[in-house]
Amino acid sequence: MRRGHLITWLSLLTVLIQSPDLCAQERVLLRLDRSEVTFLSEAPLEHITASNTNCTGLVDPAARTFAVQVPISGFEGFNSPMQREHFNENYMESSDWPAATFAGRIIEGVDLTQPGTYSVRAKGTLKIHGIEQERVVPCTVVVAPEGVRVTAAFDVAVADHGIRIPRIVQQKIAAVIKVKVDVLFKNDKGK
Amino acid sequence: MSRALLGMLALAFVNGTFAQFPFTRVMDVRVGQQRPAISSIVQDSDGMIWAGSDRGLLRLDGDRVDVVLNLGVARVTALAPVDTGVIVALSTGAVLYCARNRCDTILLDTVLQRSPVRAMAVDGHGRIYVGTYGAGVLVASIRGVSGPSMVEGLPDDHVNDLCLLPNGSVVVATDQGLAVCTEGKVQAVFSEEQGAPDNLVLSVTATLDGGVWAGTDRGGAFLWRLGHARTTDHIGAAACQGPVEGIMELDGMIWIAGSMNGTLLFDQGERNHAYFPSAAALPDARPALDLMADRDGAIWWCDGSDRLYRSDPAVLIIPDHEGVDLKQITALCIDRGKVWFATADGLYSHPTAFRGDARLMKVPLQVDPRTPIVSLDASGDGTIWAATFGSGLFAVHPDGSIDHLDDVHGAIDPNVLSVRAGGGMVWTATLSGMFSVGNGHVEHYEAPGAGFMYMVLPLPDGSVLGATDGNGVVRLDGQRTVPVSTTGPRTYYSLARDSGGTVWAIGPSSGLCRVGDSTMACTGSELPMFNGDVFALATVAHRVLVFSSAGCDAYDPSTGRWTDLTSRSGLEDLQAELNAVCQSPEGALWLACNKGLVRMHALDHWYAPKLSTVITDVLVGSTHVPIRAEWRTTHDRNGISFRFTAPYYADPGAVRFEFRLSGLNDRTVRTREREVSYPALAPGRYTFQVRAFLGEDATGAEWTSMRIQVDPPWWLTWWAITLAVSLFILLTIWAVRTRDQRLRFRQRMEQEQVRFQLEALRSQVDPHFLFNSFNTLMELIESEPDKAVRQVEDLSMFFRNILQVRDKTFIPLADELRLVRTYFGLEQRRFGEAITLEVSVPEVDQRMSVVPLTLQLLVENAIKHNVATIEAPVRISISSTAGFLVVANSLRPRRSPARSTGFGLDSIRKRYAALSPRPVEVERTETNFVVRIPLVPTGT
Repeated sequence: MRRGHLITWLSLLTVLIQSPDLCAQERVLLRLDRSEVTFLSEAPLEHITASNTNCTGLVDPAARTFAVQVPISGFEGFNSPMQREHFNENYMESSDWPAATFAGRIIEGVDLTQPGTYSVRAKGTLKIHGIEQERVVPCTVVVAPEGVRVTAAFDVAVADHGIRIPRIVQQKIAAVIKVKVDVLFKNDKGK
Repeated sequence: MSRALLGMLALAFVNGTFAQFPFTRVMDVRVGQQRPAISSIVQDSDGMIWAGSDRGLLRLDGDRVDVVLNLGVARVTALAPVDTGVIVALSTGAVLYCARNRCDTILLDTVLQRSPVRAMAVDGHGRIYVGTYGAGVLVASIRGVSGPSMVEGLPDDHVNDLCLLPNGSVVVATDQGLAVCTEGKVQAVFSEEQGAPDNLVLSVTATLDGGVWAGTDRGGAFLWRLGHARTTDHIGAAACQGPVEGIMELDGMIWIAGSMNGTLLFDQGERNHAYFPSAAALPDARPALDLMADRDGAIWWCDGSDRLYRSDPAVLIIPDHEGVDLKQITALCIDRGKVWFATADGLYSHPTAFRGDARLMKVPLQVDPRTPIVSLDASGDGTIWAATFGSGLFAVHPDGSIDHLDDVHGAIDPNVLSVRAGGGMVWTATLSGMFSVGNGHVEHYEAPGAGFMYMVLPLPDGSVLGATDGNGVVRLDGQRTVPVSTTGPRTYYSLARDSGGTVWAIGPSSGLCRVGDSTMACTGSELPMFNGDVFALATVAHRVLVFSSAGCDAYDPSTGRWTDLTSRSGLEDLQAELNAVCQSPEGALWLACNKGLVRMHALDHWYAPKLSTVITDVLVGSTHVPIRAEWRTTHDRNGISFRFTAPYYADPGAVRFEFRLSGLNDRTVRTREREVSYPALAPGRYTFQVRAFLGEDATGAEWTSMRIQVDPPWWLTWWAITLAVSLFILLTIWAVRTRDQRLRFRQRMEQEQVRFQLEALRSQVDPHFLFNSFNTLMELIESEPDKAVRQVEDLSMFFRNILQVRDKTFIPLADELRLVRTYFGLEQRRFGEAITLEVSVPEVDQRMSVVPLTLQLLVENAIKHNVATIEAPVRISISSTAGFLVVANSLRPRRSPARSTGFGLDSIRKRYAALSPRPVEVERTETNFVVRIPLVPTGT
């Protein structure tokens, strides 16, 4: 478990370091503290929802870059345990692609060190099921003394990420999945 | 319940959008069995379409897909056209230049792996601007000689798109606004601070007058000009329906990529005038990723799938509008900016511009659905005349009042087939001939025969023509109508007058007929369009367009050439009501058919498309040869394949080719194939020529040519042949000479030898013999003068005989014996009894022949080499036995041998060896010396 965390952090750091905007000077990183990522599939015959609180992530407020990782097997909810198993094994194939990532930058030139509520767009690469898509996601950022809270809602078309849904269950799984994100980043320095 | 809900949804959809779209052709792109995901498209100066995909770089000519670059795991991230090729950026960080059949690397930088290339542009100086997402803009050279330089001062390093302004500046769309750069420096920045609707600019395109259209993420699209503080024009985000991933300006139309159904089209002149592709027409279309305008004025886009879309704004299709099914229109006309059309439900009018705020208006005209409106026309005062088949004629006046004319109300046949206004009157074609309505009263003009008339056409000169069933085209003459011509096809449906005043008519399988004063000249009746149903006739300028179940065909009377416009205008499987076509004052044709309401701006290049033929690849064996106007190869690499094409996307199936290889033969081959192979070209000079054309007529098409020289092998070059020939001649001369010399030498040697032998023989005979004879003679003169006289006589006879026989090969033995006797007589006078000669040769053998002087020589030898005394005389006997002449003498050799050359016997042997099959035999015992000479039959 510790080792898994280490790998996750290393990969996130790599994503951040790869972002060319980072300058070498003193860097204050915000670490994801609390997270809830929820998806909702609204199909004619069935609504499925599941959420995940085991996400990891980093934000560099100075460079306005971020990286978030969502372990696929961490989703809880669903209408039945069987459904969760299908989700992991048949559709997301979480043994091959264990995590979804979204890494990029915030377009708007807001100062995330100043308290306030900002409406920003996060532009970056969304990688689900091993397939990357460039996305611009509108987010609401609330900067408060206890941390930076980010909420966002966006859609993911399953076809865009190479997830094949058999015809027989097309009435039960939506072609476009609604995703809601509510995460809190905290200053990493204390650690 | 659910059905009702669906119905409501459908209604909401129809009311919310305007289902109208440019005619869009979808091309499925396949690479073998694979489906490439195409993310970018451009067109090069040859007209070829290049597509970047996850399967590599593809090139399309409308018919075939070539994989120019196979990439494996890499993807094409951006494309830019340059002359006859493209610049390709790959996800591996390489930038390549590909043209025709080869690719060269221009740039290779690992920075481009992390910061992928998003867009590229090439200016007139060969500079390539490479816009990357994360590393700004790099400037490289197309020749790749120097390393790339950076553009400084960009608002952000994350570049989404690039374009070139006409003055050579580059406009960069970044995540933080627009920037204009000149000579590697940023000149101006336009972002939210300067008044841009959104910082996140996703796409950008330059207009011809130096403006910049930019598409943003959530601010719609805006037009901006360098030096202006604000946007010049703006299309709102709501109208754009989301992020603008691609943007293109063409002829005042703004094309927007990124909507849910592919593209949107905005007319720049009229706000909100948007064309939306119908979900029904393009059910699988996804948000567009890249846009491009081709040379014919059509727009191409790709959506990340294996499909390419080509939209032609010249053809607008409106399948339905505000819930009215425009596929069921039975008649239409255009008057004062409005299109009037009738369906089974009634009569409608709508502004000709199908813009967002324009609304459909229904005329409160009650028409029995069993007798629908079949013809519409407007008279000069704005009255719309609606003809029904069964319910007579209705006049809808501009003030809204409606008049009705039929057999009850206005003494007119209610079965009207056509109504046309002209010359201040309204003319109708009915089942019982022609009627005119004007000045408050109705006139009836009978038609010949049954009087069935399909169409009426009033002409500007006041005359009126009618198309009848069974009596041809009739012309109004006083109170009657008379046929224009009594020959030719008898039934006509449609009449139309072109801009030159010529009237044309069509009917079932009539062909297209020119209506003269008293003649009908028909053409084209054998064409497929006249096999099926013909629907309508229209004229555009001097051309005539025929609409039939085969589609749409245009006839040019000045050239007599037909052009098939079916595929261009998307009118395959056309079904339309009779004469449901009209023309707007701007020249657009409106056709009501089973596709809906179709508006066509048939452009000049539709009728005579210029095809440019391109040789895309030359293969020698399996190697690609650089495409040049002239090149050479060697004799052992003479299997040559040419690949050629003529990009034509409106109707790729109609392209044919003609090619020839002069130098091989002058045969011109026609083909649909786009490849030809010559497996073994003999050395020589060739010119390959190919040209493309549409249909069957190749005249006027231009040849594209390429010269090839196949070098002969070295042994067939002129110098090698010359060398070989001269060597052969020299050898022959040498051989002949040598042989000649040898022969001559041998001949001379033989002659020499014979002469020598003869000489020797003669000399042998001569001196001693003479000396001895003269000694004897001297003695005899003193002692016995009588004998001396005889001696001299014998001597002279002997020499005479020798003279006689000397040149002969053979002489008879008798002659030889006589000669020997004479000789012996001479010798006996010297030796007396010491020598004896005994000759016993039968008469038969005496007739045989011997070599002359043989016996004389043997006798002389016998006397010369032996001691001759009276006690032991030398006895010489000559006899013959079994074909041999035997000369024997007793042997008592002198002790001191006489002078002997050993020549005598030897020469006899040799001469006989040459002349007789049997050899001379010599036998020497203690006491005898015997020589056997073969006798040769006389005469051989």
